[in-house]
Amino acid sequence: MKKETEFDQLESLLRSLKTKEEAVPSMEFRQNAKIRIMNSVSPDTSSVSERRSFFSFRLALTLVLILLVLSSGTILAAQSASPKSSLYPIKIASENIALNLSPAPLKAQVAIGIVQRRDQELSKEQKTGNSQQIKQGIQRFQESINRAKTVVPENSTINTQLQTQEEKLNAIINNQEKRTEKKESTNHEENNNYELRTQSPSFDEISPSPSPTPVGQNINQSNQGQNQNLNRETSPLDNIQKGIENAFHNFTKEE
Amino acid sequence: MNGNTKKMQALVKKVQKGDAKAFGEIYDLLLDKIYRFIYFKTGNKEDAEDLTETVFIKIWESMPSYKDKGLPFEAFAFRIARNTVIDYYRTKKIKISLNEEIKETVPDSEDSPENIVESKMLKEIIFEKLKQLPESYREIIILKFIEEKDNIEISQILEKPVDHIRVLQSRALKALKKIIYEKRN
Repeated sequence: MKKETEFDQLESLLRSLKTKEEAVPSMEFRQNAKIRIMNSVSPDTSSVSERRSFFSFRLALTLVLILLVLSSGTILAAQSASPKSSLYPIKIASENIALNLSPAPLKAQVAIGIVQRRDQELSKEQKTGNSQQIKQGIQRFQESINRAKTVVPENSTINTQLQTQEEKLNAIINNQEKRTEKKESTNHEENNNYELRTQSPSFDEISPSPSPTPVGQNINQSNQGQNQNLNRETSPLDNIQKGIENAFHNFTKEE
Repeated sequence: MNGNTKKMQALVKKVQKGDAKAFGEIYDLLLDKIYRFIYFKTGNKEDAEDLTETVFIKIWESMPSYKDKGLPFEAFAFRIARNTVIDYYRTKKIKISLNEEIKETVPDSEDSPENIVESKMLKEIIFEKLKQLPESYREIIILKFIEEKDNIEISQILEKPVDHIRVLQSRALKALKKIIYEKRN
């Protein structure tokens, strides 16, 4: 009888441990651990969507390129062309085709893929190119972002990527403006010094250096030239684009 | 199959189909049990918290391999918890001293049994005594009396036959009784 009582008491004691204060997880741990666990179990949406975006871009581009390659091998080669290359307008044209021909769900991914390409090109130009080329790179980057804005849904992960790219672009523009201002102020100082030198009789014999042209003016002129050049070179591709659009239309119809 | 088990199995199916939110619900259902089990096995709050998180990550990772073939998901989760604690001790090379001197701090036996059971001090004492048991005994006492699992569930968690569980349980209780009562007398 005594034995039974002792065992019963022991079992009651053990059951009482269930409510021991420290045997219950604290509210803080309960919530924080859940957040950490759910973060680590949920797939990393940003990297997954980035990868998906990259592959979808590649898929759409490849699909179009397969059709294009049938008519021209140079188009494939143009995909790695830098802005300085003569194949660059073909690269731009093939991207436009890919964007136009992509089905609606893929359009945003193709557009962000193009933005990323412009970003990479600009990064290279910042390392190796002159200020004119950088300015053109910035312009192309800006245009690709503006175009992407028209096809990327607002509440999507791609939109977040697009916003990041835009922030990057704004930072580049600010840096560029600061450099231009610095350059202009240096030129202005040089001009003042020159005027002082020419006014002084003792400097008469010194031949004046040509007056520096404002930096902005040069770039604008050059931009116009470049734009004209791009327009001139892309226009023959319009015919190819039309042909490919028809071919793609027929291809998807058969599918 | 009771309502909770059915709910659990439905959630498991959802998770296996890629619904990560359903795993959050599994976490809510199992957290207290898994935490408590680990706490009584390790004996301290910090380890219990760290290991509980590890266990849930491991449960998530094991979700694709879980198949409902007579093994309830809860038993599957407890098995992961148990193995995680074993691995933890192996890695840390922690040895639980079985020779720790028993402190005679049991309150007056004149108190009513209800008061004794509810007293925080007594819980601490039982908890300390429990730590002095060999791991295999402590484990079975936690599962049987604290987690209130039946022998079939315990056999599924410990991967031992039910008959063996019965024997082990009886020996564990006797060993604990010896530590608590005989030292007092």
